[in-house]
Amino acid sequence: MPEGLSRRSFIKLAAAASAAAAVPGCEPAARKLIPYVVPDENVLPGMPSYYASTCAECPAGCGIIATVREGRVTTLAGNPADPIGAGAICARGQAALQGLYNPDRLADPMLRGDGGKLTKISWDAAEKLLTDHLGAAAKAGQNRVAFLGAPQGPSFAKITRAFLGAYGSNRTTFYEALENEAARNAAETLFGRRDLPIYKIDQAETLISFAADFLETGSSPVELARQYADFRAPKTRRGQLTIGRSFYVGPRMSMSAAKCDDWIPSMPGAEAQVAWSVLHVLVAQRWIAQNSGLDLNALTTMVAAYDPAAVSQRTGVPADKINAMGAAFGRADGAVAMASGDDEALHLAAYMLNAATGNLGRTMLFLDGAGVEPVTTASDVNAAMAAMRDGKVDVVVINGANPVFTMPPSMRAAESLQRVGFVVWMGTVPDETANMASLLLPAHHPLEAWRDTAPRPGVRGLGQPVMQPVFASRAAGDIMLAAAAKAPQAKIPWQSSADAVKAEWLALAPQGASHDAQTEFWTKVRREGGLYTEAKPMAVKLSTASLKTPPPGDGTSQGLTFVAFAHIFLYDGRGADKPWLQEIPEPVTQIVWDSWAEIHPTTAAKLGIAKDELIELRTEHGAIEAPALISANVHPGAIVVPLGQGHRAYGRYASDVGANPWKILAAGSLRIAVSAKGTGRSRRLISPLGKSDMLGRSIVEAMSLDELRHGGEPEAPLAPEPYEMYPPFPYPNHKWGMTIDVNSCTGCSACVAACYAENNLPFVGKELVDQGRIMSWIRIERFFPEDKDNAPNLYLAPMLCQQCNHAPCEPVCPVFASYHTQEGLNGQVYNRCVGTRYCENNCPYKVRRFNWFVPEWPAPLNLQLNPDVTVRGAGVMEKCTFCIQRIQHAEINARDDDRALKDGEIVPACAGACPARAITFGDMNDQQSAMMRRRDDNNARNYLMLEELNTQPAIVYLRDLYRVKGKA
Amino acid sequence: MNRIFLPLAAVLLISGVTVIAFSQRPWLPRMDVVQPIPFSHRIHAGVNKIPCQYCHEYARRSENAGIPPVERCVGCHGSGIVGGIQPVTRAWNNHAQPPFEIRWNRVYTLPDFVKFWHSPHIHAGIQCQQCHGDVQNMDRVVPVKEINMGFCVECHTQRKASLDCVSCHH
Amino acid sequence: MAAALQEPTTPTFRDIDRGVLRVMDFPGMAYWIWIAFCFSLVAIAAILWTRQIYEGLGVTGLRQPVMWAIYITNFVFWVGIAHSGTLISAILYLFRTRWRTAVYRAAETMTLFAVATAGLFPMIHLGRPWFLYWLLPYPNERYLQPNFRSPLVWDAFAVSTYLTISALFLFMGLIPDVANAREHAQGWRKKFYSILALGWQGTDRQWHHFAMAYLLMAGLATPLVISVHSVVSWDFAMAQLPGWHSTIFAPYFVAGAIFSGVAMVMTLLIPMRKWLHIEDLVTPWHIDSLAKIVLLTSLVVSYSYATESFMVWYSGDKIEQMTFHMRYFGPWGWIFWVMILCNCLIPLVLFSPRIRVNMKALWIISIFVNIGMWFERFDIIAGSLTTNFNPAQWHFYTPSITEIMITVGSFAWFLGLFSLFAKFLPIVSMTELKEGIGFLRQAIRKGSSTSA
Repeated sequence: MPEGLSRRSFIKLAAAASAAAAVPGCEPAARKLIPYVVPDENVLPGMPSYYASTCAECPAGCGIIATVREGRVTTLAGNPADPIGAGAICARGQAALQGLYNPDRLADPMLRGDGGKLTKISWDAAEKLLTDHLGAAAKAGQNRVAFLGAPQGPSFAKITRAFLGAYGSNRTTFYEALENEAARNAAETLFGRRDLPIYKIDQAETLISFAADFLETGSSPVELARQYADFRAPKTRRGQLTIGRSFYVGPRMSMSAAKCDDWIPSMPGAEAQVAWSVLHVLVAQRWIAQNSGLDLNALTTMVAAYDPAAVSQRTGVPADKINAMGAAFGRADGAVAMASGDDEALHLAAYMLNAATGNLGRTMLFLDGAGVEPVTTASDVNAAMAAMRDGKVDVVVINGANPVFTMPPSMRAAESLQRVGFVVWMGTVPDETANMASLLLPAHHPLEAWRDTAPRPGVRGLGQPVMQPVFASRAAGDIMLAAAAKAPQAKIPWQSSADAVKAEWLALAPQGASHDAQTEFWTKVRREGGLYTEAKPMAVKLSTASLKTPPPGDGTSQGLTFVAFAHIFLYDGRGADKPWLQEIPEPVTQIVWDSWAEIHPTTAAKLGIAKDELIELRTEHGAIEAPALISANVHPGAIVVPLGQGHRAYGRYASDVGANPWKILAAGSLRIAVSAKGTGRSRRLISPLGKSDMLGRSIVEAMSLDELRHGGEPEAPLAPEPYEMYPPFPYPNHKWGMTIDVNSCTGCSACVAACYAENNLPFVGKELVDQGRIMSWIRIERFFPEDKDNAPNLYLAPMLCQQCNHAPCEPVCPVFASYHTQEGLNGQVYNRCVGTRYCENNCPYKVRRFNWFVPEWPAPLNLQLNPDVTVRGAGVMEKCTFCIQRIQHAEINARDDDRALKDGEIVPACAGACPARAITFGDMNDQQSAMMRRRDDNNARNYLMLEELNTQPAIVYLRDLYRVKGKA
Repeated sequence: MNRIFLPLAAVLLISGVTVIAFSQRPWLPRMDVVQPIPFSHRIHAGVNKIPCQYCHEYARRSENAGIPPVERCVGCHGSGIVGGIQPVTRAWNNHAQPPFEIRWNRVYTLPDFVKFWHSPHIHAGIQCQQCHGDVQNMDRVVPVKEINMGFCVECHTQRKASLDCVSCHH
Repeated sequence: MAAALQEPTTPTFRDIDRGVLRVMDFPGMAYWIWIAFCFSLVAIAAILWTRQIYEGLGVTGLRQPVMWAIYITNFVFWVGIAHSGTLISAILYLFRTRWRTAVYRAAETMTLFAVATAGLFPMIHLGRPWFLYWLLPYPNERYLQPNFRSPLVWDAFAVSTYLTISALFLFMGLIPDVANAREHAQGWRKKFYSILALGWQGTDRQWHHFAMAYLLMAGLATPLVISVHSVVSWDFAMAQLPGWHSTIFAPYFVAGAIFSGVAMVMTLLIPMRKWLHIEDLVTPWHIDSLAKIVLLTSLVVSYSYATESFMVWYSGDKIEQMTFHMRYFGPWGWIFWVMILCNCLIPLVLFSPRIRVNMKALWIISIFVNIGMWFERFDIIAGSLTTNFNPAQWHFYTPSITEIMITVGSFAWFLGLFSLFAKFLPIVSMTELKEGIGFLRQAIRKGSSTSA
């Protein structure tokens, strides 16, 4: 029987099932049952199936595992086999689902007629149009066709080159807006190679970050967050219990800065000075490793200008801080310095610090067999744009990049595209660049297409489609190959991008493997989601020959500097079309659905700017406006605005939100001198957070290293019998509990995104967040310390239902909708709830959420809904139940094959997502469970939130750890 | 007096009726379900003693019991042993629906907030008939029991199965 | 002097009948306009409520963490109003207090309609009102019963019981009077009264049974005065929220309830006796007695405030103290001080006998008391929810137009029903006035000598 038919009925089933899941509680399920014609032995209806693939949301390329229900992917999780993500995944990765199911995705090919009006055309017409223009361009001469887009892996690169080759061109431009080119140049200068080094924070004892937000948006946030958690975990060194020592030098207290021991505010651009000054300390103290192969005298002269006192005098960074950094770095058994930004001198300094202390090849290493640089250099990008402007290009094909949005004015992206005769845009949600295109083609979302990644030597990620296309789109690769095949002198080795990827991968199979072996290999990599081998670190020789130090004048200007940074969720703006990423509060500022201008109180006072007042930021390139966020977490000399907002297209969720900093930046840099003035108008910044002051209550607790060394005060056991008015609950089988390590938690909010995806949480939008109707079951509670010197920089901890043993919410519910389950959870029966809201009134943690309206998921976002979780209607209270549906499934499966539940078999969404592995879930009846052992191993750090209320939470938190400021 | 109670009564009545109308109806037993092809469970399960799970094969492994794939029908009918292919293909001559596809009508429906799993019940040794009635004697399957919460709870109580609300409602 | 010695002979039984029955003449235009006004407001509220049910509670100003606000405030307020009725009619009856005779009918009527109004609010505030009946125990196929540990279930019982009893009590007391009215009425009214009179003939046996039954009812109603509002107060006291979790709540709420209730009786009676021309049935002497109760309960309430604050300070519970600090000096402090002004300070002027018989002054004071008591409930409910245990979830609440109009509607509903009753049923008990006619006559003399 033809296989296509089974797929059709398959999809029908999918549609039916999704319809069933999408409607609120009181609606009938699907009426029709359509069986397979031929059953697919890999699919068991009603049970999820899993596909390994690779995340395409940022260049890090973590492995993912997609949970697919009746043909719809419902959640994404990390792939444990992949060494980068190692089973975890960030918020951005999870929100890829909302890119896939985005209601504003282009559904059909569109042609822009005169007057800029878009008209729907058929795929055949579109392809014909495309090939005609390409043919004409090819006739007109060499290199009159160009490709402009994001790097999307080796296979895609090959396809692109083949496609352009077929039309006699080699104008491929792989453009990443936030490419860290200065770091590559620095690496070339010092080590003679352009690939970026790999960091091993967990191998270090001291870390200095020079404005590198490695926990949010660095080269590989998930991996580094995991390493950082390990770095900060209490260890015994030199006979003393201690944790990693970390510094952050930069203008703004980012999340990374907040998690470091010291945030050392510095003028934007002064980081390099400080870094070289730290090196000066090392040299002065003779803390240069022998094996570094550096000549001490040469070094001494090199750093002569950066004596801490002088630098401190120039930059205002206290000299003792610099000395402290130097001491901690030089003495450390393993240290790592990281940098980011466009300042090459800064990267050189960071590399030098690592090299000089003999950490090259230990905490910072270059791997053997680095491939060609995936990204086009800035100069070549400029050249490409210039070529367009000069009319050297007739057809440009754009995919995966949004130059009109992400290119600073000086690169004149829009103007360049206007000069191109025929602009073809392939993508999902039409963005600013699509508005310039004459032909718009709906391309597959990465989760629908075949692709691969090579994030680093030894790691090859295979991106296989995890479901049928949602729209009538085609893979960008297929579109190009189809066009290429029609070219006169075309000799394309592959039919489709699937072929291309397969060919690419079969080449990776063991040499001379038989056909069967190859097939087996192909099956294996598809199952594991990639090919993971151990890449040897490569010995690189350091040459300081062409080493240039920063002019001592740098970063010492007294004027205001504008600094833009990559938003942890929106990144360079590609996240803005995903409501989850808009609605999850940015961890440090807790602001949603807007962009803000963070400004220091003194500066604000000087400029006479009030809270929430729109600041006009003007540079030679233009001006933007953003509401003032007055906070002490920014250097007085800087005004900081996140990237990612300010779209004027890109779907209903992104357009007309906030401002786009790129509009006022110069090419290749994220900071620039700025003149700021208040406009008198204001726009309130919206945040679900109430007070930032903990008022001395035990919500997020921290302890100093000394307290830890003296054993802290161990957690008192749960209240004994005399407290019980009612007989205690028996818990014959299980008593579910959690251990959450606040010290590991970075605040990255991956858990929040995971909860949104797993539990069908609706997003509500800016206005409703303002009205206190945000629906997140788990959130990052953020507080500012009262005593800045004797506390962590920020209190950050996940707040979710504590599943109390004495739950205040339970006795007050008149109908038992909120009740105590036999396994110790505070169950919530949605269909029994009448909506008195008494439970939330009585909940001290305020973790219950009420459905104020009927939740809405504009189609096809509803296809993402998890069929295992009831979709709640209006007037119903809802809450976290440790992912009860996962618990139920695990128990049923265990019972079905007559075995006991294994520890770690159940993983709630939040615990599974956490990159820092801060959350452990398990059975409190089983003393040997990983969760209970984690409690016992850290007995001194155990605490319960609001313990004095005797609610006896099932979640034990482990206190955050900090160093008393001014102590080594 | 009446001026107070009549409005109250009215409100209660109206809301009550609305609830019944919009929430309960859909999953009351539906006696009127007619299938696209005159498939007889009596002949298959009764006369020919085909075990339920021969066709509803997912029941022991999954949430839903599953409707046999057309391949399964053809397995017997196509081989010319029994009946011939006509009984199966009859539906496909009906041009109202796409070829090679049997669009069965649901007999049993549960609301979205009830998460029922077949597999644990099969593993607990519950006979299909216990909920679905003596299907093997029915030509056209009609529900004989009203599957409501009381029905579930009674059985769960007798068999000491879980009475935790969240086992079915989450 | 001489006048003082001889027994006054007016008013006679006939005067009383005439006085009361004249009230029940067919009402004029102004009356109907008033009724129409009230019920059009009710209609607006009903429309808004329908919308709220259709769209969800999002149309209100409720939010994290303030899940209860104006609706529950109104509930508590109206239940409170309901109290004085039973107090005056039942408890004072058992104490054989003389002055109650003229005012208790009005008070009881007020009670009935106040409870009826209060009963609406739990329904209005519910997320899924159509499932309200789940709060009551009834046999069902699911084997589910309400949670008897939940104060809300206690509420359901307390309020419904109270509604039933006060209704029975009122209509029983009415019997002899409607029978009386039946004699003088024609047309549909005659039928209407004859139905309500339950064939009352006024025979000795009937009077005998009536008296006994009335006594028993009074005994039955008395404990309710205490119980109902105690239960209502436990809605809050049983929760552990700072500002709610306090053992003083039951007596404190009962006192407050009587306070606001009696004040409301005054608010209604004073204009009524003027418009309905029953000054010589409801005399300044009666009102004066009511004023004394207001004064007393005001002192009790003030004492409760003091004790509550003292305990917070004395307990040394930091969190509780922060909550109260917010209540006094927070952004919503003005509500607290308005409440203190209306409930503790203004009523103090009632110590002056001259004020106590100055109708205008009394009326204004009683209005202030009502405002003050409403704010008290609002401050306790919304204020405490705002300053909860978790500062990260502190947010302020602002009411939406829906809530405001439904509140206004509830007042209109109450006044409308009361006005209808006052015009179509004897709002002053002829029977009891006749029983205590001697006191009435003296009262009138006192009244005429004191009141200006």
